[in-house]
Amino acid sequence: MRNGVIIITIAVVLGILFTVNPETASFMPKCAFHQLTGLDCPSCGSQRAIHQLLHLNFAKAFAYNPFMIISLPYVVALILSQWYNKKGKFEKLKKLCQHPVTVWSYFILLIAWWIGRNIFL
Amino acid sequence: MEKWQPAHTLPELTELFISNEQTPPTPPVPPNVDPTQEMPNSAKQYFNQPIYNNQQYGQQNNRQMNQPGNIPAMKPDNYLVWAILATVLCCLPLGVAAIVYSNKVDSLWNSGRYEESIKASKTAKNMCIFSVIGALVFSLLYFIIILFSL
Repeated sequence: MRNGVIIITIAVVLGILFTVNPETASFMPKCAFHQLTGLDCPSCGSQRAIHQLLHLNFAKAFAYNPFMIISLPYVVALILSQWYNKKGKFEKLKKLCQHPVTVWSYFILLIAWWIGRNIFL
Repeated sequence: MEKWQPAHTLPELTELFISNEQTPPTPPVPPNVDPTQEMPNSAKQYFNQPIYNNQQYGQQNNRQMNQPGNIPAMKPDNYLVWAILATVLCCLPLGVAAIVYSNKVDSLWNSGRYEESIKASKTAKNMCIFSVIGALVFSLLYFIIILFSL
């Protein structure tokens, strides 16, 4: 039941992102940080990136938000190892994902990307 | 063997027992004596330690036993998944702070600072919740504004 709701939600969101181009659609949710400050947040461009990813334009997706493309596998691994870790199948993955070194690396990358994209891009 | 008798009854050995008879006899050792009584402290610890199949459980239980008082039994949730999801999906700086706090939970717990660990867990949770609420409210407001401006 719970899994069904989650799968349907993800499918609907991906379906919307596939059919609607966030570049031109005015009603797609906008980034609060960008609207308020005019600066880009670390995940600004994720909707456009995922839209391109679903259309298999990997280069365009990477151009919109490379950080999002890097984050996706990590987020999937985190969710799998945290919430679908029945019988301890993903214990090793969980340890790796939640290791302080991993989290701090991700955090530093996030901050560097946040500052860097607003200064250099 | 049948001729055996107590040593102090023998005339040749009486001299040896004179002094002993004045001192009170040592109390007999009760049969159900604690075998750890005579052990050095380190050995005693080892003796009393329960054996667990899983080493991790053993360590956790030891931590509970050694720390008297209101020590919580379980490590609080660090909400790392929620923190990262909030950062990636909600675009608010709060999510970044949530990652910092959720990373603190484990390290504080492992160094024995349980109270602070629980506090960090609660802070991380609240930051995730506010981040999600903030993003939802903003998206909704934006959607309403767009609807009216059409």
